[in-house]
Parts: sequence; C-alpha cells; structure tokens
Amino acid sequence: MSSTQSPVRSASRAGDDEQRGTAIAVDHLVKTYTSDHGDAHPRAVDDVSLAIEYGEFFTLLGPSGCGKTTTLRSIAGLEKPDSGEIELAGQVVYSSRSRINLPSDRRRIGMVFQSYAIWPHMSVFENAAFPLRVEPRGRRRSERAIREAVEEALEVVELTPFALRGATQLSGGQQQRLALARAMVAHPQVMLLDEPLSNLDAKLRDSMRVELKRLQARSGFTAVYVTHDQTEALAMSTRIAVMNAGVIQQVDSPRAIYEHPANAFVAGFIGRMNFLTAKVLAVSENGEDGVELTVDAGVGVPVRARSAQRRSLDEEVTLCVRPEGIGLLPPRESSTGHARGTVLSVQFLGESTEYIIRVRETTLIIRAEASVRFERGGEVDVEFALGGTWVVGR
Amino acid sequence: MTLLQDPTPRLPDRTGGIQIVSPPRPGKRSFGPAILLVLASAIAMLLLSLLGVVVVMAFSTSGLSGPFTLDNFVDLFRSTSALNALGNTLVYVIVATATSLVVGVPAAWIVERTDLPGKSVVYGVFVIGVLIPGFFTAMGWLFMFHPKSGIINQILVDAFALSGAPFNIVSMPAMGFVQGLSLASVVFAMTCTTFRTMDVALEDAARASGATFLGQLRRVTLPLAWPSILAATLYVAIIAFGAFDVPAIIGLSAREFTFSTFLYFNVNPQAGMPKYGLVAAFSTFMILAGILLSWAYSRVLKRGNRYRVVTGKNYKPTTVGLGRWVWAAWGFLGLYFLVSKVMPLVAVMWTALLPYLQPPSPEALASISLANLTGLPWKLMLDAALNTAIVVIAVPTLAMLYSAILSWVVIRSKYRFRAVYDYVAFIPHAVPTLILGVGALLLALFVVPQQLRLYGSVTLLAIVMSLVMVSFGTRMTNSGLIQIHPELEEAAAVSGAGTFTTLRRVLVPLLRPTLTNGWLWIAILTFRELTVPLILFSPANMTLAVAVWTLWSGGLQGQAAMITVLMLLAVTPLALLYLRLTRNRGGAL
Repeated sequence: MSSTQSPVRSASRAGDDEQRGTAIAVDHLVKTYTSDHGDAHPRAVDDVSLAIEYGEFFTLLGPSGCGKTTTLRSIAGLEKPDSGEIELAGQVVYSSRSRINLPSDRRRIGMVFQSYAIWPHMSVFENAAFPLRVEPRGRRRSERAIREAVEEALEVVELTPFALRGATQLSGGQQQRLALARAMVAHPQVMLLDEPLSNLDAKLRDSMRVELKRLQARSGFTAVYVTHDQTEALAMSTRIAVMNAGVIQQVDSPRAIYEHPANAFVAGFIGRMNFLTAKVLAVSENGEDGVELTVDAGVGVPVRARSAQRRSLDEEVTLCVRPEGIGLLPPRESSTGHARGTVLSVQFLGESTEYIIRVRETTLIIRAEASVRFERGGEVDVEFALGGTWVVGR
Repeated sequence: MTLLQDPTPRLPDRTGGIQIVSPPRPGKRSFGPAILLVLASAIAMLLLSLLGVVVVMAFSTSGLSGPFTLDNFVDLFRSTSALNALGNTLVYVIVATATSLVVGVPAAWIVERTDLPGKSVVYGVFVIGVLIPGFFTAMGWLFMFHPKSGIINQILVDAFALSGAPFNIVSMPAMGFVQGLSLASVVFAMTCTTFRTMDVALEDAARASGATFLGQLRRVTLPLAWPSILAATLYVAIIAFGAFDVPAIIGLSAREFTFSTFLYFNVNPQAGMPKYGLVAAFSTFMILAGILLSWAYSRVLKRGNRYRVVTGKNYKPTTVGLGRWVWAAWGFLGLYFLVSKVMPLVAVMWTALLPYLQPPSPEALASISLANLTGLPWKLMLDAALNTAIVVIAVPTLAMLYSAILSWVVIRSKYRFRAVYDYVAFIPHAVPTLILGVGALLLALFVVPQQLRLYGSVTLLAIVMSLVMVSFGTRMTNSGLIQIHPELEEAAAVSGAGTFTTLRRVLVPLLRPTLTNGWLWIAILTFRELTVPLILFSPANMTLAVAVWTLWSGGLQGQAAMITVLMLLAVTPLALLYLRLTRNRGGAL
C-alpha cells in the first residue's frame, strides 16, 4: 500500500477543483510506547499502511486502545512514531529512514480534538483567527484579510452572531462548531478529526454528523476521522479502516465492511452478529461476491453462505449471520430447509422486535419487524437467507 | 522521542509534483523544546551544585581543594554536642509532627465535611497561619513561657505562690509543640483536599450497610484518607526536620541545639574559626536522611493514587449536621487559634511597647511607649527594608520562571529523563534549607572567583532563595499545568504555532492565575524567610528578618518585637490579596 506519485496541483485552496491522487500516505508506521520504567509495551501501532485519496472521508474505527488515535496523532505530528513514513499532499512529513520529522505547526493541517480545545482566554473570533495570526511573517495576511476569512469560517458553522463572545460562553455543540471553524479557516488540505462527536449528547451528535458531511462537501477537504462508534463510521465515511491491537483489519467501503467483514473481529465490531461454528459441506464457484458455500452450522439444516476466500471441503469456518438476516416463520409440519427453534425471550423495541431463539445447541439473536409476533416458549421456523449469511475463517 | 536527535529535515527525494506546502527551510526546525530542556538542566545543575559542594567539603581537610579524608566524620562521631543535636532533632520532629496531625486532620474534616458556620474564616486563618513568620510565634511563646521572665509564668507564680515556673518553653518537646502548631496549617491544607474530593457514596454505603457514624469514620473515612494523612505526616516531618526559626529563637541562647541550630552555630561560632568540615559532614548525613524521607513520601503518594478517592464527576458535597456539637467544633478550632495565633501576637505586641519584658501591671501600663520604635537604628533598618524589597520582588519572579520551565519539562515534554527534574525540584524541600545555604556559602567562598563579589551580596541571596523556592513554585506550576488540557496546546501546534508562540499565546495566558498566585505566595514566604539570609548574612545584604535576629541576639528584645510587628503589618495586605485571589480554595500551601 505504498503511496502513489502525487499529481501536479495548483496552489489554490482545496476544493476549488477536483483533485485526484493520494492526499495522505502512511507507510509501515510503527509506534511503541514505553512506560516510565522503560519496559516496552506491545505496539500501539503495528505496521500500519494507508493511502487516502483527496476528498475522501476516511474513518479509523476500532475499540479504545486499538491505535487509531495514535495513528491520527502521528499524522498530525503530535506523536513521533518509531518507524515508517508519512506523506501529506505529496510532502514527506515523517520518515524514519530519511530522519525527517516535521513539527505539527509546519504540516499545514486542520485538526478537531475530542475536548474541542477551545482556548478559554480568547473570544470566539480570536479562537478562529489563531491559525491565520500565527502564519509565518512572510505569508501572514493583512488584518482585513484575516477578518474576512474568519467571518467566512464562522458563517459556515453558523456562529457569526457569537463572534465577539468569550469562548467559554458557548455550549458544547457551539464549541464543537468553533473548533471546526478554527480547523478550516486556513483551508488546509487535510482535516484530522479525533472523536469530535463523542462528548456531545445523542441528539446533537446526529445533527453534527450531517453538519460535518455538509462542511466537507462544501470545503472539499480530505478528512481523517477517528471514532469508536460504528454508526458514525458507517454513516459518514467513504472508506473505513477497522483497527484492532494496532493492526488494520480491513479497509473498505462502509457497505462492504458491514456485509462482507474480513474476519470475525470486524464482523463482531460492526453491528451485532451471530457467530456459529460451521463445517464446509459443498463449494460452488458462482457469484461476484466470492465463493458460495453450503455449510453445516449445527442447526439441523444445511445453510448457504458466501465467503470472500476459497474454502476447502470439511474446513472448519465461522458462519456470521446478522440478527436481521434471519427470518422467522410460523412452524409448519413439512418445513424443508428451515431450522426449528424455540423462543427463549421476546423484547419489543418499537420499530422491531428482538427474539432470542434456541436452535438445537445454538442460541441466535434475531431482529424481526414489529409485525412479526411469536410468544415466549413457542416454536418457530428459522430461515437463513443467502444475503444474510457470511463465512470467515476460524 | 527527543527532537534533539533529529537532523534538519531534508526535502524528500521522492516527491512527484509541485509542492503546495512550502518546503521546510533548513535550520528552521523546532528548537523550542530543546531550549527549555537546556534551561531546566541549568537550573537543576545549580541546585545540585549547592548539595555537591557540601558533600565534597565533607571529605576534604581544609577548604575544597584539600586531600580526601574521613577526619570530618571522625570528628562528627566524637562530638557529643553533634550527637545530642541529633537526638534533640528526633524529639523535636516527633512532637512537632504529632501536634500538627492532632490539630490539622480534625480541623480539615470539620471544615470540609460538616455544616460548621464560618468555614471561610477557618480556612483564612489557617492560610494566614502559614504566612506568619516562624520567628514571630517563637518570640511570642518565649515571652509568655520563658522559665524566668515569661509573662504567663510570672502571673502564675504570683497568683498561686509557686516556687518555680510551671512551664518551660526552652525544651525540645515544647519547641516541637510550637513548631507543630504552625505546621498544623500544612496538614490542614493537605488533608482538606482529600476530605473534599472523597466520594460521599462510599461513606453512605457504609451507613447503609449498618455502620454507626463512628464506625463509618473508623472503617471507611479514615482508611480512605489514610494515604494522604500519611503523606502529610512525612511532608511536615521533613519541614520540622530542617526548621530553623523556632529552635533558633527559643533554644539557641540556651545551647539547646537541633540539627539546624547546631549547623548555624558552627558556621558562625562565637569564638574560633567556622567548622565547615564538621558542618559538611553532618549535612551529608542529613542530605541522606532528607532524601530517604522524601523517597518514602513519594512512595506514599504513588500508593495513594491507587485509592483514587477523587471522582470528579457528579460530586455533590454532603455534610454532617453538627447540631449541638457545633460548640465543640468551634471550641476546638477557637482554642487552636487562641493558643497558636492570638496569644503569641498579643505577647509580641505587648513586648514591643515595653522597655523590658514584664507581666501586665499598673507600672507596666504606665511604661508603655513607642521608645522601641523611635530608638530603632533607622539607617540600618532602611537598608534592610531596601534589601528586603529587592529580594521580595526578584525571588518570586525568578522562582516562578524556574518553576514554569521545570514543570513544562516534567509535565509536557516527552524526554525520557523528565521525571528527574521533578525530583531535583523537590530537593529544597527534602534537604534542610540551611544546608543549601551552607552550600551557597561554600560556593561563594571557595569556588566562584572573588572578583565577582558574590559573597555577601544581595544577588547571591536572591539567586539562592529563588532556587530554594523552586520546590514551592513547581508544586503550583505542576498542578496548574496538569489542569490545562494538553489538547489546548496541540490545537495551537496544528494551527501552525511554534513552541514559543504556543507558550506565549496559549500556555502562559492560561497559566496566569497560577503564576500570579504562586508569585504572591513566594513573595510572602521570601519576606519572612530567615534561614537563608542569615546563613549568607553580610552587612551588605541584611534583610528585615535578619535585622530582627541581630537585635534579638543582641538582647534588644523589645526592638526585635517592634520590627516584627511592623513586618506583620506590611505583609498583611499581601496576605489578604492572596486570600482574595484564591477564595475558591485553590490555596497553594
């Protein structure tokens, strides 16, 4: 996943015209933290390589401690990696081989922090103006140009009426928008966002999600977004990199990650998933989505499922089934191809109903439309649709 | 990890297109952190050299250049007075520490966890308590309880026709008690935080489980507070161990030596040459002891972190209703204030107005005058006031500058050995101040070229005192920096601000309240400081505190008392300003 050559670009601000090529290239990045006693911990970032295109909304997703934030902070220059290389807009900003490590202030990025990091001793206007005020002398704009740029940025995030207020007088959501305005005011090509929505309440989070996408579409920056919230990741990203224990598990579009997870970790981390141990009964080669298999998952009937890789007969695999990928039918005498199960519990959730069904030795979580109704303790037929099943390695 | 090791960033050789980001100019690498590290190292080296010169001296025969010898240690162990002083110091430290705990811990609990009315008054009095010069209370106590001339002793002897004085302040336990009363403020401040941040739910759970109030106190509250009580114990023990004012004012003339007064006496003997070798040998042991105590202190602090009584979120202070016990609580606190603050204050003022020490009587009242004020050697006093003004401005300024630099390296940088700077900054606390003073004296006498005229100068005094204050300063700048979210600085960095721009435009403005409070606090401590100015004393650098000492040891008790009262008046506005600024109980201490 080495970087492609950077194309010729105009020096105008991002988003004016469509840019192609790699905006951010991360190459074999490694970072290990040492404790105060000097002993080394496992790698926080373990040989991570990424190529992020211009205009992408790229999300690093994973549980806490998976290395996503360390990767982001390495791109920002706030963390010094042990080895590897990072390129921003065609310029090497970090390279262990060439001994390059550009400090953050010279990487020309925008960044939004989890805590917003709004300076309490400055007004809203001054917070947003800061990146322009600290530009190197030669490049610094006139006071008027700064004023115009800040007013524009504040208008984009709808904070114009608050410009003269103290920054501490803003609400959480407003501080978040101010952080965005500050990050965007100098029109950086690359915008780094470190869990920017995690401190907001659920309602505000939903609206800020839409807001962020709108801002990105408008300004055209390349966004790298760190989150542990899979809903955010699925909703906003052009591509997602799922990380665990410092290693990238899968890089793909949200839909591909959801429907065709590369391994059990990704499958379990994105959405809810039933995992069944299974054995391959038959292999057939058709289908664009990979190999189609028939497996014995211990539910009494053979189950059809797809897999990204070839599988051999009798191979032990894991069958992944989404709760909404299983159908429930009233029990029939002559049901072929349906497994018979018992309803262990019923939870009515409003728009859907969640069932826990026992099929032989296996317990399944199933989400059915609210119109489907079964009683606790009753019998049901369970149907595995081909679109709802997926096989990964054990 | 360090930016020092990076060579100048070079242009990458594999860029394909036109650079839209201006290439890094050679030599424009971020030097900021490296400069701060160099400065911090210089400060640390200065501090360590003060100790180093003492240790070298301990193993030398004459001066610093003499051959290696153990003679000084042989002399030390043969000297009964040195061993006596050691035993005395132990008694002194134990009594002082115990007294401070007995007063400070209950007071902290009462103020933080009960509905006592007038808490802010209690808090204010305790803070002021730290600021009252040690020599001031010591004088007051001596005036009251001197075995022969003590006012209260005389009153009691007359009233009950006693054959001898009932109290004798000139003894180790009594001096320890006096020291303990003023250290109670420190214990109070240290344990207040714990009681304040303790999760009330933990105590409620004990009550809900059926524990009585006393049971809850014994089984939950005190065990939870234990690490911080232990830390406070070690902390005040370290202070008591190097304390100078009280044993000097009360014990020195009676030849009742603790370690510090023994040291002072041998550096400034009444006859013969200063015994630098002996003093250095004794100090070397005390440096070891101080480091050991501090090590124990830091261990306790670390272990205390496991308890994590601080919850932060959803903190709701609930208080115990005192009911009728409010009288007991106020009685306890009132008695403490009366005994430790009011009585010494009255005694000193009384003495300041009289020609000689005498109990209240019609004749005494008739002889009240301002003779002690008009009779002062004014030329000397004005010089002393000027010197005091210089150090009171220079010392806190330098100390806060050093502290901010050291704290930045300790808290914010990622240098591997950053913790070392924290330990070094604690040295002035771990090691009796007097030893640092002796070190400075030796450096000025034997190491620094005499052409610099450092010995006996105000400059030397200001430098040494500012180094001594670094242990106070860093405590404040450390906690100030910890409270500032690192992302506030990182946001400046990614916005394009270099290290110094970030410091100037973000960090310093955010740290300003801490810097102001710290400056004020250290200014007040400097104003009353006796130890370092006394050991570095020369006619050219006399401060007001030293003037008090000079008059006192010259037998002019009334004049000494008078200046002390004037000093107290002068420091009051500063202390009130400090209280105002830290009204939300951020109090440094």
